[in-house]
Amino acid sequence: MADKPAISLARLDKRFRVSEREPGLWPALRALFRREWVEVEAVRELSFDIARGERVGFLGPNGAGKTTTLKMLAGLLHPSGGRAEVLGFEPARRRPEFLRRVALVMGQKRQLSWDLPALDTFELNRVVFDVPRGLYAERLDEMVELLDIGEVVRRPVRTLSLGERMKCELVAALLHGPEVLFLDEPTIGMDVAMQLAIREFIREYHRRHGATLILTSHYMEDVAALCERILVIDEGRLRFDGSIDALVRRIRPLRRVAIRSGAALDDATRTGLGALGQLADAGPSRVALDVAPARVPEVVARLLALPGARDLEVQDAPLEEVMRELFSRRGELDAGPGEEGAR
Amino acid sequence: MSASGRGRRSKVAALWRLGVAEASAYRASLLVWVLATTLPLISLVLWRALAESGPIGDYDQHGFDSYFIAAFVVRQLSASWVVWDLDRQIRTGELSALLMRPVHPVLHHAMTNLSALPLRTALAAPVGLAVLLATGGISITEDPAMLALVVPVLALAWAINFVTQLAIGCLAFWLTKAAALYDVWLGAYVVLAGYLVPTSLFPAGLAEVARMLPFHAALGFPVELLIGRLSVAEAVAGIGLQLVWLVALGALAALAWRWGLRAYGAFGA
Amino acid sequence: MSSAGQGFEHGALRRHLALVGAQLRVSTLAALEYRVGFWTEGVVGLAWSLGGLVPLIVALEHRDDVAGWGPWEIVLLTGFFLIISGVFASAVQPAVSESMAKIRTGTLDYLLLRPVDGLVSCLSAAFEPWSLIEVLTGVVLAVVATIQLELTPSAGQLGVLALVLACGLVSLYALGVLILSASFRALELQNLTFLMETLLDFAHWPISVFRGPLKLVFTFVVPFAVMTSYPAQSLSGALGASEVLGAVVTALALAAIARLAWRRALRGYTSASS
Repeated sequence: MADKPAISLARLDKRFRVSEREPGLWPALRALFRREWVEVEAVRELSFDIARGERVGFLGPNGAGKTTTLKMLAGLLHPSGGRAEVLGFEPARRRPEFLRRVALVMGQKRQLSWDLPALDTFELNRVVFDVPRGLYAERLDEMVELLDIGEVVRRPVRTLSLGERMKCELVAALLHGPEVLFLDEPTIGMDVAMQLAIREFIREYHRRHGATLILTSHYMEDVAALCERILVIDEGRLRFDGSIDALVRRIRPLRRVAIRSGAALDDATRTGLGALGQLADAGPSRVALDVAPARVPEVVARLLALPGARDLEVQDAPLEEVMRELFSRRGELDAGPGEEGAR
Repeated sequence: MSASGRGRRSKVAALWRLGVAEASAYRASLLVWVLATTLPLISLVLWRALAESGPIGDYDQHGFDSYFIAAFVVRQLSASWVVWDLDRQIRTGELSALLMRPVHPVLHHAMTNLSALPLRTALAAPVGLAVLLATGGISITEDPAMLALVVPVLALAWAINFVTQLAIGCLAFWLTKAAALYDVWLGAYVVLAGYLVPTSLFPAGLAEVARMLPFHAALGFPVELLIGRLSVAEAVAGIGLQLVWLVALGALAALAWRWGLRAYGAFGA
Repeated sequence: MSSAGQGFEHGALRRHLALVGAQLRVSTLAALEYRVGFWTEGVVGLAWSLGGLVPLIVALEHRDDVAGWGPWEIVLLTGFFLIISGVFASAVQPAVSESMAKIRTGTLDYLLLRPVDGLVSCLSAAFEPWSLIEVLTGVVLAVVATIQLELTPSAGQLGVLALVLACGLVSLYALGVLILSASFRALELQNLTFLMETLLDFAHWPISVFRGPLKLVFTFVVPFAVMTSYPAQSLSGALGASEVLGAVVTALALAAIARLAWRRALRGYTSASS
């Protein structure tokens, strides 16, 4: 059971037809009778496997094809080519047995009935997903407690805050105990505390139930905290497949070594350090150097030797910077899947 | 004309072109529109069959042909849909962008509405022509004075529809279902305007009331004028009634617009 | 409706019925939140449906009968019209509109992710209980007219009535599904529901009023005949076997076409991007 991947994609394609015309009166009138169509390739020949219980993050700029891929895996969109398999099912056939074992949560779309308390929608989902009453009560209690929403689920949804609503959405999606959980921007638009609470909940859910998790998010923090494996998708293609550390090292091979020093650097020290790596910061009381991983021990030794040196830090470049770099350097990652990619 | 006058004219022209482009972007809704406006033609077939054994009231078969074809044409030329646009723009806050433009939003809507008319008429024309050929034609008034009145009467009918929709659309400033309220108006229009049956055939009592209402002023009256069923005195009275309704509904729309904008500014969209 | 396609494994019928029941419950709860709906949906709806009678009254003012239908027969017909129009207003139209709204906002995704037939999910997506006032009025009118006409329908005739009424309802739903499927293609096609609503006005008339192609359309394509004229005729035994057969075939054909259109629409579903 464990050796068969939970999710498997083979050369998956999705093309959309979009109408297009020139601006102006005549093109508008012409379009009334003959429309010009343009094919947009949202996903191109995507292939990868995901093991059971794995936590995977999709990264990519807007319109990269992340959500389209997610929706194909959930069975909402029919692929234009290639093959997708989730838990041994072809998603697009939308077998009830398949749908009962997966769930999709979208941060920007709600399923809760606006005018009613969330509990009413939960009850509806209990019926729809055929969850036994005992199990339903058990799961509901567990999640309500984890998310601390005992009162919230009794109030009409329209009166809830964005974060409270998302918590209820998560409960609604998880009541049937899905084995595969697709999360599309679950924390979008939320403040940091709420992001953290939701992230913690998802992590806890995974720990307890061992579900397979696929997450897309604009917040690198979400992905870094939740996902052990990253797939970078851009222009519908897979650009990278590996751990977050591997991704950071690929984009920003240099590591940052920083230290507080007692006094300003003199020119000689400055030149000496400059020879070891890139001087990122050389303020009066702080020095930071970006260096190749192999040289880190040498640089650390040199910095600690500075007069009054304290608070040494060695870190990878900040994730948001990595992301910015990643998408401004389109195509450079084209070398193929990362070192940890299986193929 | 002054420079500013020319500026305004070219702005109006630009709005017109925009309206045509928008209308053709939604050709599917145009198709639905054309289908919907053929309803009088179904009434035509129906009443024609009922009149087979002799005239009903003062309408014989040919009379019904003329009446319903004219109703089809008048409906085409006097239609407006500002209520749906306005309702959407207020709910989504799109109106804010419109308010920032140097053209009054109401003028903008009037132009976009008028500009789609030729296109819609052109699309509906084949249907009308087919019916004309099938039924053997329509008799319209031969009195040149009446013919001359047709254009202003149609313009007034359009204006009545427009300000009514404007007034109801403005309710979206306060209500979430303003467009649904227009459906209520439309329900009354279909029955009372003479869309399903000429109002002059209504039972006594109901007929007199119906013919005083704005629904009739917007459809039944122009139709009867066009097919030559009105005397000069009746035509003048009808125009007077149209003007009364236009002023009344227009005042209502202006008030709703002014108060609504204040409410809109208050909750800041 | 023909239940071709995915997911009719063991216990499916029970689960689908449970879904419809649960949806009805949620809709009713939502409707009770807005009690003003009693006036805006129920009473106004009934008023407009009765307002649609004006042309028939005009016709009866000038004639003894309308294409062979006397005044009380017209009342009987109106009873069935109100039943059909009430079902349309309370069940078909709200569900179709709600599904379209979900297409527009992209939340249809959640409906389609349920482990039940997507069409059942869509057709039970919303319900307008207040419009049932129209159905009730329709039933009362039909009963009163039956008594006034001194009709004593046999058990067989009542059976035929049930059959054609069921065919009429299936056809009504099938048309709703066709409109819904069309609006997957182009969202503006949702205006077709308004067209359907307006067109429904012609179901006020006995089918014998219509001539030529229009008669064919209203018998087989948009079968108002099956929905209102046939049930009224079945009570007086005036409905022939060929008409009953025609009603069944029409309803089945429409249902099959609707199901096919629905499957095609789902294949092309693009899911509003967020």
